This record gives sequence, C-alpha cells and structure tokens, in this order.
Amino acid sequence: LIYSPGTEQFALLHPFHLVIDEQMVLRQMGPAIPQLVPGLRAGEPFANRFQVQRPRIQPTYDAVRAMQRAAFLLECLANGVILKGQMLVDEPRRMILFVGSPVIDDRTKLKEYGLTLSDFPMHDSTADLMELFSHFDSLIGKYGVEKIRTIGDNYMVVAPPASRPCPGPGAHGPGDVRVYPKPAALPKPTSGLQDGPQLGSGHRRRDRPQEIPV
Amino acid sequence: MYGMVNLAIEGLLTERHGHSVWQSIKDKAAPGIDRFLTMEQYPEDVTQGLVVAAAEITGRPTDEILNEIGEYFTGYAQRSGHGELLDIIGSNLPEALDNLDNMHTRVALAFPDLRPPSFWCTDVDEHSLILHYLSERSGLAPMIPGAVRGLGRLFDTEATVRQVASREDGADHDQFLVTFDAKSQG
Repeated sequence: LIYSPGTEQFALLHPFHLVIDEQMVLRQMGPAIPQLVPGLRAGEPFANRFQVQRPRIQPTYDAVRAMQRAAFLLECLANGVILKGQMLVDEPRRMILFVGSPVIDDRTKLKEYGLTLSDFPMHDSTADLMELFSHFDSLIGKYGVEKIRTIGDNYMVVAPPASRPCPGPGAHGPGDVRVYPKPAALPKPTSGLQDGPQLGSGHRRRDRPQEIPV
Repeated sequence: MYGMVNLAIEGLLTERHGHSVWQSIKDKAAPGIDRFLTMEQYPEDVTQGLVVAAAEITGRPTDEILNEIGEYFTGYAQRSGHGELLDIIGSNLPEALDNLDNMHTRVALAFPDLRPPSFWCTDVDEHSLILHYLSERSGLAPMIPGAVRGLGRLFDTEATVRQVASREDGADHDQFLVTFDAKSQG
C-alpha cells in the first residue's frame, strides 16, 4: 500500500478515536470524544475516564498488545456509553490506537449523550440502525405489541398470545407487523414464546453498578 | 448466570441419566425453581449447586461432569438459536478459538447482564495452540476441554486438550494446550 490519510482526514474518518501512550495516558482523541466525555483533555490517564469492559484485561500497554485480535468495549465512566472498536499497538512509537464508535441504538439517547447524527462518520452503520428502529417505534402502537428494548441490533417486542385463531395475512394483529416504506434489506424477524415474567424491561447497562473486570 | 447454562446442564443430565435423576438433582440444588428460562438470570450458586448435586447423586466426580457439560454446550448452543452465530465463528477450529472472545463480546452487547469469560490464543502453529481462559467465576475451568472438543466437532476436527496452567495452582489464569488434526473430508 502507498496511501495513508493525513491527520485531519483520519480524524474525520474516525471521530471517536483515542491515542494512548505506554503509560496509558490519553494523548489524542477524535473530535466527537469531548462531546461524549465533557472536559476530557489530552494528558489525562485513560483509566480516569474509561473502563475496559471487554476483553477482561487490566488496561495496560502489554495487556492491550496481547489482545489486538479482540473486539474492545470501552465504557465511558461519565455516562455509561459503550464504545465498541479495536485497539492497535504501534510498537515503534509505543502508542495504542483505539478506533471505534458508540453503541447507540436509540435516537433519543443521542441528545442525552451530547451527540448528533453528524458526529458519526458516513461509513458507520449506527445511523442506519437508529433510523430503522425509529420506523419500528412509530409502527408498533398499531399492532398491539409492546417494545421491550433494543439489545444491540435486536429490536425486541412482545405480544400477548392470540386469544382467537390467527386471522391470517392482511389483518392487523400480533405477528403481522410490517414496515412501510419497505427498506431494501429488512432483517429477518425471529420469534419465540415465553410464559414467564416480562423480560428486563427498561434495564439499561448504565444503571448497573461498576464492575471491575478481573 | 443466564438460564441457558442451567438448561444445557439439564439437557445433558437428562440425556445421560434420565428425567427422574435430573428431577432429584434439581430438587436438591434448586428446590424453589420449577423450570429454568433461557434469558432469566439465576444466582451463580444455582449452577454450582447443580453440578455438586449431580456428582453426589450420580457418584461421578464434578470435573468429569463439568467436562461433559462443556462438550454438550456447543451442540446445545447450536440447537437453541445460536447456530447462526456459530456458523460464522470461523472456518476451522483454530480460527474459531481465535474468534471466541469476539463472539462473547458480541453476545455481551446484546445481553448487558452477561459477564462472559475472555479467551485468547498464543503459540499458534499448524497443529497446536495455547488457549488462555480468564473468567471472573471460579471452578468452571474443567468445562473448557470438553467445550473445545465440542467446538472441534463443528469442523469435523478431533481435538485433544490438556490444562497446562491452573488458577487453582496459583497461575494468573487457566491455560490449555490444544492439539488438533483436521480429519480428511469424506
């Protein structure tokens, strides 16, 4: 390869990137990071602001170097937002580069975290997912189903069991949720039965007490 | 621990020892629970208790039972809605082992209360590697050899697994030497 983007283009492509030195001090961050973590400045220890949720390692240079093949989840301690991405170690310069983006599947959460859609690069699929989910949000009321939550890229709804025989295609009822306009590639829905209590409704990761990975 | 693990234990013990033996194991370890639900959270000691009760009632060592649970687990996961995930985990056993951590990270994103272990591979060559396993839970390491063999079966690959470092013996984390040989196809 002969091409590499300049620093400004790099920042545009990766607005949520972090550069961390061997002592795990933050040296550089993408332009969208200060919105997500207000007051963060270069020179602060990484561990003051972020916790490595996955993989289960202590945040040290050597541990990160050993896990470069793993997907990383970084939790922003200020607001519980998860950044998902990958860590690359630049051995000659003894620096760690993190490239990733926030895991946000609900448009209403964006504002809460100080972000807008324009903070996400065009190559990130987060915005598409949020748009699809907001279509679902506007439709579920029509069909007698209740939104439980979005989990990752899953949109989870529940419907009460049908009290009469299924009325067949075309009728409005559970099992007949359709989306208009029809997106080019609608994910295949899966369904299951559960007769226990309603699943973890509204339980958010950020409400959880901090857990320090071993 | 999510109910899925307890359900896998139920599946295995029912298959091996019959329903009435399973019923008495469950009555002993978890008398208050009528039946397990996949996506429900259960206290850690329920899982441990099932294994201990199974050992007492069947007269077999807990390590042997855990090893069998591990071996059963891949197939169970495949049959219970995680087949698509396992289909894309890799094209051979070493690739799958290398991807194990990523797979658990993806599942952890979907289930915020899940606290899955971490895995990574070192010393990889054509027929062997060292699999590192780090969990916040203790006592489940005996599941790993079985789980690796179960995973190998997805690729028609016979794996032998030997523990080479153990947290119980003071090591930082558990390590396993995995040797494998791809069976000739057809």
